Amino acid sequence: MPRRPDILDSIYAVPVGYQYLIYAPLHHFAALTNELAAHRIRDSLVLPGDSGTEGLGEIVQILRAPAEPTPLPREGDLGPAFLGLIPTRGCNLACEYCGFLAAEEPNEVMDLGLARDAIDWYFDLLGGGGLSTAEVHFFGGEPFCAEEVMDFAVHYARLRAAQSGCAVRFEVATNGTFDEDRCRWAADSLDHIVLSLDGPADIQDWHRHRRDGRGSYEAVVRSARLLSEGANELSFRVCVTAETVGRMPEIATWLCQEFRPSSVSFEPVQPSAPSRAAGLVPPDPWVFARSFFDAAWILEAHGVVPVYAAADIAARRVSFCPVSQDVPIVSPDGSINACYLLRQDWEARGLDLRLGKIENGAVLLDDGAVAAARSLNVWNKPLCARCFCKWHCAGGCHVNHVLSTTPGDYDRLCTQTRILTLRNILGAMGRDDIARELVESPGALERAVWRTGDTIAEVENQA
Amino acid sequence: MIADGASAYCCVPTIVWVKDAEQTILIEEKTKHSWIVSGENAAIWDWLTLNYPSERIVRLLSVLSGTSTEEARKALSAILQEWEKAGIVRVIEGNRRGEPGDQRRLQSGL
Amino acid sequence: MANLAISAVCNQDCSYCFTVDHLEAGKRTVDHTLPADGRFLSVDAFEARLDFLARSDVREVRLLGGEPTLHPRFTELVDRARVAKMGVVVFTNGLMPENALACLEATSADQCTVMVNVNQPDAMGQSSSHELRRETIRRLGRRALLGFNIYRTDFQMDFLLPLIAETDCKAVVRLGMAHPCLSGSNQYIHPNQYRAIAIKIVRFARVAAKVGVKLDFDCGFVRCMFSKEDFDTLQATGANVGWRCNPILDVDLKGDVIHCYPLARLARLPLTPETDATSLRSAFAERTRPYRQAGGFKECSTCPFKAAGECPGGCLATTIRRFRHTPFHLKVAREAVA
Repeated sequence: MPRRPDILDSIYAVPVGYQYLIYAPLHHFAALTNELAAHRIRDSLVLPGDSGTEGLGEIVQILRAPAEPTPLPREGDLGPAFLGLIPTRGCNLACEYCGFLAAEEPNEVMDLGLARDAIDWYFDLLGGGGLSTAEVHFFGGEPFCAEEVMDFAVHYARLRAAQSGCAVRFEVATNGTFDEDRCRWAADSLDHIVLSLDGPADIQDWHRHRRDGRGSYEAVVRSARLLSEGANELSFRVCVTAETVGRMPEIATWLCQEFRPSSVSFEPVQPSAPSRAAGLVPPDPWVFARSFFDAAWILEAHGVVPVYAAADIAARRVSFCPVSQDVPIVSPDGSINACYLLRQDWEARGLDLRLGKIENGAVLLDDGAVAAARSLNVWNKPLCARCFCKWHCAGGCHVNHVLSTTPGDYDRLCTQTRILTLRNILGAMGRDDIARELVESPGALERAVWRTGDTIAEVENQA
Repeated sequence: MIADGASAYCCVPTIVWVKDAEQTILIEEKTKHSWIVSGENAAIWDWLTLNYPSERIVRLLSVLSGTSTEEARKALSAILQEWEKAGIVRVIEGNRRGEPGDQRRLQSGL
Repeated sequence: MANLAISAVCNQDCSYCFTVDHLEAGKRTVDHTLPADGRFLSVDAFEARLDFLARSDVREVRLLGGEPTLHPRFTELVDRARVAKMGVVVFTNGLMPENALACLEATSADQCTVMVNVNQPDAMGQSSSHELRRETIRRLGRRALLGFNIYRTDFQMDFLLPLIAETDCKAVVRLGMAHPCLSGSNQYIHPNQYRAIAIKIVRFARVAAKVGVKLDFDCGFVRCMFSKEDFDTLQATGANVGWRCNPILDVDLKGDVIHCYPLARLARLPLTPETDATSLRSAFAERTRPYRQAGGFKECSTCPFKAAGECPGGCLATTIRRFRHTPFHLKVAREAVA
């Protein structure tokens, strides 16, 4: 169990050029100060009788006031944020970096009865919580390779939602290679469509081609145009490699001019056996971060939200992903897992993310497994304990991000997360100017990133 | 007209529709009559617009409603007859196919 | 209210223009000295329009086009409206001939409003037009009211504030959102983009309020694009906020009345000596009523704002474009009915 939190643990001071960013996410507070002011604020918070000196009283008062409750792991009855359904692990593409190519039983399609049982169980769980909106997310492989499951699940969930007196939203992560009729169906039936599109034709056809080697660009762009006209929300997922990182601004411009996304997520390629075999490597984190800055400003000028998921400062959480958030992800074989990645990937990390199974209409949930999944949270990640990104990043993916236990020993993912979180905080403060200066100053960036701890109590140690 | 044997239905050419979050709205463009379709009937309409064959719709419907295939087939037949009376679908004479062509947006005048 | 089209000719080619479904391609020309050959309203027809307005108890003549000031007898039409004791509203891009400008300058500000549609400088290669337009607005002074149409998400409106200050025109910006024509062939804002532009609108409203400029919302905005905080901010700035979509009644050159230009292809009713605005609005409302069950978003048909009559669900053209026909074909074994 996490120790009783000390609020000072969640107030941070990070050097930004010649200033300090005082950041308290649980107080919804951020300010830029000079080094002396940072020290004075630290002293005022540490010493009970100190009410703040030289005009800092208001800041100290804010930081001493009760904050939002510290995020804690879930307890009690299962309260899923959404229901995940994997209609199939099969896919019609053979993307160069895909980690799902090694899926067992890739051709297995979820039985409609299983989908019905999963949806029934989910709505029965929700019924106790009085939630106003249910959510069903579809993953794969490629979910539309099992289109009948989609056809059925959407309507059955709607029926159950109507019976329960709540609304239901649908989200899908897809490669977008379906035909026009199916594309219109998706636009009509689903609320949020996350479409993988890595860039213009030369990139898309190189990264994300069909099994016979033919490119997917034409089909995906056609779908993207139709979805841009539809009643759905459209987001793009762009996989970035060392080769393509320099083109992120160009890709951002193209996506804004040609389509109507609400957000664009840039994701460095996750190293896997296929990606290594294809010679696709993740970009240097510093280069990625700088490119992200440039792409993000283009997106924001068009009202499109740039996303690097670990740097979402609106999120205050103990886990970056559905794991530990009680999300049941049901696979075609009836297994209920906490994670949508392949079992062999978890097992390679020494993790068991199975929660139970659905068999013959009955749901068998392992309470111990649920507790184990809930324990995968940022409270158990020592490296994150004093990092200012703690409540947003929460340590990243439990499977793909193996953290050091040495304070300040930040890896590639930590580095870009810290930089981009800084960017987002400064942007929210209306200080894009400071962010622009920062990205042009490698020394300032390094000073911000390479720290053993960011809590305000540690300011003197780092100064 | 009701007859034994197989029948072919097509969508009346002046019917346009939109799928909303909790219902589907159908409008007959000339008379401006409208219908709200929800629940299982909205699902049937959805599968019709995907041009699914009847047996596929019956199979999906039986799982959706938790009924037998035979009951689902009767339900499908019944709703089609209801829609035929309402002027939403019509029976095609003989084996002539319905109007081909792409999806079209509402553009006609009165 | 009803708008009278007096010109099918325009000297600009805005990508978002909502007349694209109505004005035939090729009829537009920059040469305003060409004779009235179906591209300009005759004086007799204009008088008939004035009669229509009078029996409809409308005391205001609203002139549009194309570009209405390009009408070769524009000044005469304005004089006739004034003789009929009607206020005059002109919807213009501000690039008008000298005689039209002089005519409007000579009309008192309480009898005449000139809605000048202003595009972002450098948008559509219009830098030099911007200078010309600025001079027009300066000469019109308090007769001029600036209009801005949002047709792309990377828009900027800050340039309007110094323009208002320098020209001493009305301290109001009439804000429009570019809506699609039924053909979808003009550039427009899609409902998916409403939230993104709402954020920018609220920011501009705050900045504008500091210099005494208020926003006036044109049709098609929706309640849900603004959060409660946004809405409160807009009200605090004195913005004339509204969620409107009604039959405008645009009377075209041929004497047909359309709901509005975006819906030009949907329905048209003839203007006869017996019709008045009220009966026309009722007729259009009845014809479009079924589509009003939906809105621009999937959620509109069950939205509490819509149910309460607070918001109609946005632009009707946007709504109607969501509808489609699907020619499905199904063979089924038919049961005999007992």
